Amino acid sequence: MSTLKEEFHALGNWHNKISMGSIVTREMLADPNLIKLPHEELKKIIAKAVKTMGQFEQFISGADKAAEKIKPFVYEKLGRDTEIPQRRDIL
Amino acid sequence: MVEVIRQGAICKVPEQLGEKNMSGLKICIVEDEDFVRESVVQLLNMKGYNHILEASRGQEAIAMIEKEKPDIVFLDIRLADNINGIEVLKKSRGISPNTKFVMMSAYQDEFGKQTKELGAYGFLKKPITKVDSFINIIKEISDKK
Repeated sequence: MSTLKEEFHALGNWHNKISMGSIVTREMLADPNLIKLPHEELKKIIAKAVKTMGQFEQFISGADKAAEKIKPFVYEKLGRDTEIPQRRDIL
Repeated sequence: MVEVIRQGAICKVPEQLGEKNMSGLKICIVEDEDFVRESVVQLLNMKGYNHILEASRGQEAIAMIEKEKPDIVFLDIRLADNINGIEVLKKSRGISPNTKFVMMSAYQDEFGKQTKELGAYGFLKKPITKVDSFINIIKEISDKK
């Protein structure tokens, strides 16, 4: 069983991957010299951008799983709807 | 035609489009997550920084820093072996005193002060959301050289 800290770390890792991937893809496609490249090179770059977009699906799914694992830690302490602490000993 | 690294791939482009290494800086990326490390390398390549070294493990990073004496090391704290970024920083300061270390972690509150005291030049808090996070710090270090 993982700890809350490990799950937050995992969530942060997925978040960072999505963030870095989006920065790189944006920079890649915003390059004003892109259009001047030979067709074959342009195809390689577009293929790389498409591959990164595909990886985002995997990263988002990973982040979602980490968030799901965090939920029980939180809802053990706080009422899901009331946000009121569940146990007096943590007040 | 000349070969250049563009978007992380070796491309043959007309000579007039070939990018030159914009600086003589040797930059090392130490990060255990392959995707993140490769993204940073690609990003720096796109910005004209082509002399980039990579490591995912602490021991590998120390050996590389000792051999290559990079100008800048972007150093993750959690690494793929039992030597973390803080240990790498401690050991490397002595073996490459002119290298500037920029730590990367989500835990700036926990590690920021400690790494600064150990001689780190700066700290990039993850998640990194702006391309300028890297470029500004590289330019700042480059201008001081």
